[in-house]
Amino acid sequence: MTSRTTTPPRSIDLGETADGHRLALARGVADIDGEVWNDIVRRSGGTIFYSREWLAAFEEAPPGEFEPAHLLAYRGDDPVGVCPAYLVHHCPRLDYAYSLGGSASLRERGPLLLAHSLAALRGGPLALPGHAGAVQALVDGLERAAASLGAWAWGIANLPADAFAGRLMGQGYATAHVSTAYRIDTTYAGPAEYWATLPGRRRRKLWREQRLRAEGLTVTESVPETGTLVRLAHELLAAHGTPIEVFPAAYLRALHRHLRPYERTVVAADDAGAVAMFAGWQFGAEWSLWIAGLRTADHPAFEPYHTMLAHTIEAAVTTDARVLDLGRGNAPIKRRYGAVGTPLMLAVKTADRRQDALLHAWCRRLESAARASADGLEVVSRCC
Amino acid sequence: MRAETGDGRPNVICIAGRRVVHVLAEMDVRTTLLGDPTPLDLACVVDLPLDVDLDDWAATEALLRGLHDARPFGGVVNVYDAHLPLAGYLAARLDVAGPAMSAAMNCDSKLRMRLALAGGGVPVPAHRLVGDPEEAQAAASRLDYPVLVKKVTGAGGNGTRVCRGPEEVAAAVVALRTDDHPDLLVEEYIDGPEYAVQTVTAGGVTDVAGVLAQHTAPGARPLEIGYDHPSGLGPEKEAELGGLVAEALRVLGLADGVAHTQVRLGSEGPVVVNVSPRPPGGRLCEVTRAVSGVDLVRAAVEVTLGRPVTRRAPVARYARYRCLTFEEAGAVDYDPRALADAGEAPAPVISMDVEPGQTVFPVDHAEGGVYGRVVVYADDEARLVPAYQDAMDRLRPRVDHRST
Repeated sequence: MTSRTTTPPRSIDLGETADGHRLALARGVADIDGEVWNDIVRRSGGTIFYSREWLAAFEEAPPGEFEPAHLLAYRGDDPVGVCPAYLVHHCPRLDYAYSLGGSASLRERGPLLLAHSLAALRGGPLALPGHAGAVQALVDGLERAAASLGAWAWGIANLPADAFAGRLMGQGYATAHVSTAYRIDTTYAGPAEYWATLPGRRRRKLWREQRLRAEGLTVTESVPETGTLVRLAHELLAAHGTPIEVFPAAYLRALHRHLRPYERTVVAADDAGAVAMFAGWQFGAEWSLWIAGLRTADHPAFEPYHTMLAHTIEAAVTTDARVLDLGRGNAPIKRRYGAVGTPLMLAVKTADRRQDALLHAWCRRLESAARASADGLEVVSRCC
Repeated sequence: MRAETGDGRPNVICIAGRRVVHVLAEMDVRTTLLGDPTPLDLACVVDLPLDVDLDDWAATEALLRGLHDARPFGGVVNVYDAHLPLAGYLAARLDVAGPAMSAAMNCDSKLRMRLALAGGGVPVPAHRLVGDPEEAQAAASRLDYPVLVKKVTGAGGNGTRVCRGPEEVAAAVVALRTDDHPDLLVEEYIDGPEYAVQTVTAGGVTDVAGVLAQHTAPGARPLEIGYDHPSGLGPEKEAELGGLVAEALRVLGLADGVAHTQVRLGSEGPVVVNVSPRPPGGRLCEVTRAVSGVDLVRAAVEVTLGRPVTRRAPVARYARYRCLTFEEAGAVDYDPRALADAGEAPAPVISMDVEPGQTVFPVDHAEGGVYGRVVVYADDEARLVPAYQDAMDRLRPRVDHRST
């Protein structure tokens, strides 16, 4: 498979919305002011997946064929909202979603404008406090950008199931609940207060699991060598039969390098080196664990999982992270630690009633198929 | 939109439905009936019965497209929840009148419905999507007891449990969860009276055909067990509920069609608990027709055909509708001579779904439910309860629990 991003021209003016927001389309990270962009993301509660660095890594080594098409909303001359997006020509995850939903032929209709990636744990527009109108302006911007770029449809990936998702449903978007991310509020005075929130019997069972399964291992928060990160991630993917193309090595290396300033990765090691990892980053107050890795030859059942999870939660509680996003998959274990599921939706639309019906039919089948798997779409793209 | 056939009749697709087929025949509409398979008696009534796999949307569309090219359809009529998404799909793909696809999908899932309504500012119960008993118990603790545990799709009274503690929540999850539908909703229980609001919407304008007070079973399974007209709310409050329902339908994208919406009056105001974009089930269509003059099945067809909705003079001012349920299991007995199901309102309806001697179960039992219906009408409020009592005295439903 060849992966590429098209060299972007300069930003494109998408005009004004009815409520006076000016919209601009940036065709790459080179067209955005990283400091301004990240400031908006941070102040609007965005996560690492919206950061300029994430987008830069994605652009440098994309896991497929994507053209950057990031949207900015301005009030006067002030940027007040952002929405990262890509014109998707080829994406293994999207192809899998088409096929899982019995609609592989939809791929033949051409590129789809998506905000922004099924690989991220969040997607969709962000707006500064006091500028809620910019969110809808950016949704309108997606439609305009799709028309301008020749996309047959546009949409948002991994949109949390909340009132904004509901507004899109009311606007006719086809939606599918494709996976669930598990999050823990970590604003406790200390680890003891966190553990006290769990029922006593469960707490004691979890502690026993942690003791028994991590003998001889040391769990720390550290930055692994990039080669180690890639190797552990790929070993775990292979063990679960997941195609490596959803996390190509170049993509993981680019992410590891670009996101180094935000890295919070938890590693379990023995005398021979790293055994397992939860690769993650903290942006603002949210620590997102994104991909897991494992030396599968020695620990086929991911024995250190409980110990690493407990270590991560306690580390979040004792530092400035207010929310720990444990990502998708492994729901039963994450729930036992008190994590709360946030359904993540795919929302897509076209400008044509007849094509919309195809999207609704696809989403209906996709949701049904994803529901049958505990990890939703993550059946082929296992994360933490 | 109207498509006339060569013989001058409008031409529609109808997905299942017994009464609607007869209404279409009465209205002289050329009908292509889709069924899986089409019942023989209905196949004899319609112009073209088609046995299709209703789960294979693409094949159904391909078949209909060929017919549409030869003789254009004017719309798709559907009165069942289960087929609503298919009706929306076919209407959109053939570009003819029928339920909006997005609205059909928004009403097909309780989660999607709640999200869309909340996104549009319509009050809905607080809720959480859960996947196992522990997660459900945690969600229930956050919402505070009692809570409802319900299926995301196809809930109704059978797919819902009222739970008053963690053990009941865990049991409800085990009872309702299936491999095909592993996710459930845990939802705030809105304590207050419930109302059923029947509406007809055409071109985005909603008219309220009737507001009825609704009664639900008091136990763990909140089945709908009765309705009263008038609702007892008074015109002002009914108008307020009607306005809320019209807004809910607008938010969900229901611009054309009939809807049956349930609203609870909680301590903080009205809350929309369900919207069914089709005529109501049971005998509610008959009751609504009797007290408002609007036949909701006929109205659904008329809206699809772009015709004005027929409104006749009401035949009764008061209606009392009760479903027959039992408090214990056993062999049912009643007087069959009391059954009355053939007359037009205001004649009473006394119907049973079981024969004498058959086993019945209480509402909260897994096999329990509604076993019959009694509807009485009156123009004088004072005569309503005696009329109902008279019907029950004649039917004398009873259970011999020793036979279980």
